[in-house]
Amino acid sequence: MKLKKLNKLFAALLLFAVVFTAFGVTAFAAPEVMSAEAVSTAYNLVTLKAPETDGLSTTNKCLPISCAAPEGAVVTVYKYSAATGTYNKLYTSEGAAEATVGATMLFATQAELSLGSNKFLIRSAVDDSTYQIVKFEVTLLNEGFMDKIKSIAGMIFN
Amino acid sequence: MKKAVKRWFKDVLLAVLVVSSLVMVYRIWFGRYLSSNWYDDSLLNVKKFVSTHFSWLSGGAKTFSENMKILLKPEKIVVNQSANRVEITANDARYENLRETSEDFLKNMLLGEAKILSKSSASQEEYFSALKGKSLFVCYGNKIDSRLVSMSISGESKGKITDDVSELKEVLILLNDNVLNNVNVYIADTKNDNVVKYSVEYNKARLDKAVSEIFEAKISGSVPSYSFELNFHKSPEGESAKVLFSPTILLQVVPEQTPCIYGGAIMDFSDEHGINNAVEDAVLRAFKMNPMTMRKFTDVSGSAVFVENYGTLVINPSGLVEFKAEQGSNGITLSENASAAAVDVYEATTLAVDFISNVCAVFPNAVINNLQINSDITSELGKSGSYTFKFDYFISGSPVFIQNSEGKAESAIELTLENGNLVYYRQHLKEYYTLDEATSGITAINAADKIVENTKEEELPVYIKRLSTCFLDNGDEKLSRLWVFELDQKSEPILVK
Repeated sequence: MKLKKLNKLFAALLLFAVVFTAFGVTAFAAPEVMSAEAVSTAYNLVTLKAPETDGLSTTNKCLPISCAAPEGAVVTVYKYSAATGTYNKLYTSEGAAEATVGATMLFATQAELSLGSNKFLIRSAVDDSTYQIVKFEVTLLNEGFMDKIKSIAGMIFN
Repeated sequence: MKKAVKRWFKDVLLAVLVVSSLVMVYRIWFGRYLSSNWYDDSLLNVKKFVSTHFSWLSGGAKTFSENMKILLKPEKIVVNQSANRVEITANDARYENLRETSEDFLKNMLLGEAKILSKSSASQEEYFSALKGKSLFVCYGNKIDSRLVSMSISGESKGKITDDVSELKEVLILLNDNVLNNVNVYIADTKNDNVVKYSVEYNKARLDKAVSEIFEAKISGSVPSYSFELNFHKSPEGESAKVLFSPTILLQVVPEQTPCIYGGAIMDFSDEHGINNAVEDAVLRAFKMNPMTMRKFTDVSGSAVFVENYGTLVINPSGLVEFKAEQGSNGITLSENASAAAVDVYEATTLAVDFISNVCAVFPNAVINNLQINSDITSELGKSGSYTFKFDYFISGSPVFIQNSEGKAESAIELTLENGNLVYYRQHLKEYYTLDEATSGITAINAADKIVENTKEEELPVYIKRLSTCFLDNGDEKLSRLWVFELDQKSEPILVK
């Protein structure tokens, strides 16, 4: 009789632990998709450090992204998809471009650019409903175009 | 006929007696009395004698510039092409080819064989922009006197750059993306932060090929970013940062697999009878200890202790060799030609490098081949006439620090010279090997988080002037890689796991 009670107690504890853990994980996980119309619900949660300017043009396929955010904030990077009209969570070779900011208050990742316009969204959240978002756009130029300019310059200088 | 044979026999006997008496005299004066290992000892002594006095027989002993080439290597070479960037360290199979190619070009430049078309000062923006171009970025890690870099590359202490740059940490070779028929070289003088830009006339086909070959194979992992690309080198306007990174620090922003190594004392260094006689003899000779006049005893830890009037040498069976000059004594005179006042940083380094090469000559080549200078070598170092140099074993591109009995991380070699005299020397004689095994590590930013967590609010922002990796030999068989932070505020580096 006593053993049955003990078993029930263990089962209840186990169930509680599973539910608690699951809630713990999902409570701070950022959504996979953000609407293009999404707006911030809070401020002073993120400062974009790199790229420094919106509307940057580059020939470099690999874009370093960095920002400053309060310690404990979850920073997630999204890339715009023209096909769906939404911002989708960015994934690198090592997983999602997402991290909880530590004592340095710094976050960094990198994104591979596609030719033409690339729109990004950074979301810094302290919980599900308190977050700030920052959007920026980077244009990847065709290297062939740049090469043509360089070869003309080469002809002039040599 | 019989008489002739008798005479021949007498001559041979006389010759043998003369030779054996010479050998005995040599052994008494320069070596030790016959021991159980007399054959090995004799062979080593003969080898040493031949290599010292008849160097032309063995193709010549290594010169200072050759020793310098071995001991002063770039910590890494960063190859950059468009969106691709990769750090190549000494353990990488591609390192030697890249080093040879870049040093060949620099040698031509230093010796004036490649014409310098122009020389100017470059702004920080131009330097940062050049770092992102098609280039080879040769990083020494420490601040080095430009004469020593010139010596290690070209064999000459005076080169085309030594009048413009007094000390440097990095040399950037920019290939100009084929726009102009020349190569630009940027060198930042760490003494005054001035970046000198040289435009050099040079057929860059070989340099171009070396860069292109690196990216022909698929590069795995993420592309490291310079701190200035992430704007981690400055505080945002009107805000204060908790941490700032030196602009040219490279940061991997995603976690990486890090290698493991293992190692221990050098094989045959000691056995159950104590320290190998041949090793002991060679070490004693390097420290100019005379077996006829020195006193020898074994202490409680099993270390052999040798006492001379000028200092004490301790050899521990674990591979630790330590020499301390007696108080009031000059120690071991290394500079016989130069007057004490003439021993500047260049002269002091030549003495240190030659001394270490001499000590290591008896050990397997791996010992000296893995050693690299791992401390700043600048004129600032010896303001009071005293120079301390640190050398480390570099395995898988990272130095191995050895944990001492007080738990402090030490370099493989620490050596102090005062006015050309050796007053302190400590070397951990160890060998390390790479393991075909890796562990997952944390990113540099996560490691920096730990530094900030342990820093008082009033000491912020933390300024990281150098960020590298190391292994810590704490006696464990397998060693994993740690982060090494050198901060402006702290004199000692901080290790983070």
